[in-house]
Amino acid sequence: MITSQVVVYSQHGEPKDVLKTHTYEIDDANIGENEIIVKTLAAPVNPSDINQIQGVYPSKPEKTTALGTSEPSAPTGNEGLFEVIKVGNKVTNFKVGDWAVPAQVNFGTWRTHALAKDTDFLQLPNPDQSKAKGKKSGLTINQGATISVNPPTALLMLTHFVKLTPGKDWFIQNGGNSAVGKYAIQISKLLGFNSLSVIRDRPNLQELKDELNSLGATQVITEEENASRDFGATIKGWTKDTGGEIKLALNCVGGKNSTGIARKLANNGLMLTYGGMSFQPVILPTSLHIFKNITSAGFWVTQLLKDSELKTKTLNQIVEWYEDEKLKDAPAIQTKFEQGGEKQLHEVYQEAVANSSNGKQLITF
Amino acid sequence: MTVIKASAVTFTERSWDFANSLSWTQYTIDPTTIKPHEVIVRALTTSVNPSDLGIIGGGYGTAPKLRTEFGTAEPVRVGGNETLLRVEYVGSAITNFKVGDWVIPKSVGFGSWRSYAVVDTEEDPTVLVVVSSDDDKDFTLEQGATIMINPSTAYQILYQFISDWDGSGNDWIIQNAGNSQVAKYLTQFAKLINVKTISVVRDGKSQQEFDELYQYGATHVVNESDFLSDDFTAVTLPKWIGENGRVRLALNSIGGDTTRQLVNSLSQDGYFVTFGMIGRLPITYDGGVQLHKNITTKSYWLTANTLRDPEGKVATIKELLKLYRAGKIQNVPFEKNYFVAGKDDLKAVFLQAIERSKKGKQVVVYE
Repeated sequence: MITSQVVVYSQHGEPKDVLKTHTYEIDDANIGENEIIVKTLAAPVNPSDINQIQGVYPSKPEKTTALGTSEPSAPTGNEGLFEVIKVGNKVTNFKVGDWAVPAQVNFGTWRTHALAKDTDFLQLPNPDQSKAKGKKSGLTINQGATISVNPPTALLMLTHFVKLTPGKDWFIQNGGNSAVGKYAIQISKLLGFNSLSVIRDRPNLQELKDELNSLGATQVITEEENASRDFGATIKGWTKDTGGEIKLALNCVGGKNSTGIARKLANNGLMLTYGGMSFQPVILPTSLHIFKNITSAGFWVTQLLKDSELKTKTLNQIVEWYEDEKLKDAPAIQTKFEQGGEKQLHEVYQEAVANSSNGKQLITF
Repeated sequence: MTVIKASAVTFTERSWDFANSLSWTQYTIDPTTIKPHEVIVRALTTSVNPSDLGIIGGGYGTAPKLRTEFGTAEPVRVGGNETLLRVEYVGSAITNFKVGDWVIPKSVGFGSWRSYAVVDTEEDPTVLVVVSSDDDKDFTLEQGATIMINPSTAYQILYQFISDWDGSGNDWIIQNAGNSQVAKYLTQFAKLINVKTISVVRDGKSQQEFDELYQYGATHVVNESDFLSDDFTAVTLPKWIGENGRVRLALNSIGGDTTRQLVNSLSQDGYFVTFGMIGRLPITYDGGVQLHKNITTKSYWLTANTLRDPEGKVATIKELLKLYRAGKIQNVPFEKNYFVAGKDDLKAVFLQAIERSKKGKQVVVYE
């Protein structure tokens, strides 16, 4: 018997009020032939996890009594890295020791163990497997645990909707300093696209510019520069030099910033809006929209990655970049959970939620 | 064949001070000098549309070309786009037009604020499209006067973004500017394929104006303040469309406040399409709603479509003619401004139409 713990809620509300730890047993001696048992290596806190608990996110897990809770409850967490510790005798896609991530959202990753169907997970190479393949590097725990949301968001926004010509075309983004923005800078560099990141002016501006440049940014400008007519000529000069166009704008801020980057789009350009629930409205000037035939669309990685073939292909590409040390992951603040220790699992996550404003929180097990 | 005395409203510099910038230019056309590929047309009607004012005033498109054909001391420009013309004379090489045909220009920027024109068809024999004739009573001057823009816009918007309309009555369109010419045509075209419409109108409209929209086939008409209340998306709309209803298309030609609520009204995978800029206000909406409901924001511009695909425009006109001739479309009324040659000053007639254009669609009718 494996004693498993999972963070659940039976009613929506603030995480500090509604989260509970549910403890239950997994009978590892009687595992189904297509089932696997995994143990959690790490699972982060994402804004959408919090929104789900609050009940304000459009996609959420069903509340059930499947785990043996007294009231119908839903598990928490959507992203996480797991290690396979047992496989049923008809399982072919996993063996003990493999790393795995949930194939879909709403699986509930804030837990110590899970009994699952073999189709509930996708396999990732563990570090030994990567080394055996002759790769430079294996995935780190942080890379594996945060591979399912932000890196695919960046990669798919750059490639899934618009065809940018390597060496020529550009994209513009207003969240250059965000985790997704930094992945977009790096991935565009890997794919040969030019990036134009618009950031807020700040005391340590040069420091941030240097950081983004070291990730491979083509150009980094301030919001003031982006809004300036004179500076517009400079930007036109850059795109002219590469013989390309700004065909794509990535918006995760809204408000004037969305207008600012939309204005820089070439005719027939596309603006994709992604990101959390809390941003300001998207604002498009009507004349620009009509005369330049700009399209504005939403990008929601959760929806897109329901296509598991696309998800596998996307994750494989990102794994390869990590193994080749071509992509740097966004760092997270790590806290270790000890089963049977002083704090219950839900308390550890409640603290992590409270500390989210300091940076991305990752709980390791 | 006597020499034709004709009138045009011309300008040289773009200005919104129309009373001063526009001139009444009189000119003559000698039909005996007609070249083999030329057609001489007489205007039956000419519209005054907001886009014409933008082109003549400045701020919309580019200035029309300079013309020397009127014999003016300096070259002048003629604005205007939408017109219904009658063929008066045809050159010796013309086979596809005959005297008495009613035609419209195929493309944009005809320069329609004039009573007569000589059209060269050598480069493109289909530069004019026949829509009716003196003997054809099934398609009237009222219908022909406005076929080029508003019904064409409505028809193309209906099909450009969504091609798989479900005729079972569960598909819906919501539109602001519900009182506009385009909205009135769109309501009718949607009704023909059993797509339901909700038209949003400014507050303070009379029951008569609501009834007019219902009579075109609007499923619901709602005033702006009711539309903007939270109750609309929470209670009213779900009740109207029912469990299986989908709001698939939201149409905006105003901008401002209503855009947010139009996007909120859309169902999963809906399209939000902007095709006009009456208010010059920006489009504002909740990005979270957009990404979670996978809503795409697009623009529609008839002029761009026509320039990119002129034959597509002709195809639209042909579809419209079928619907009109089958009696399936009611013509949306407009206001007439009469010009009597030899009596009226054409500039004065156009200035009157410009002045009245704030209140509704204006057409100059040549008596």
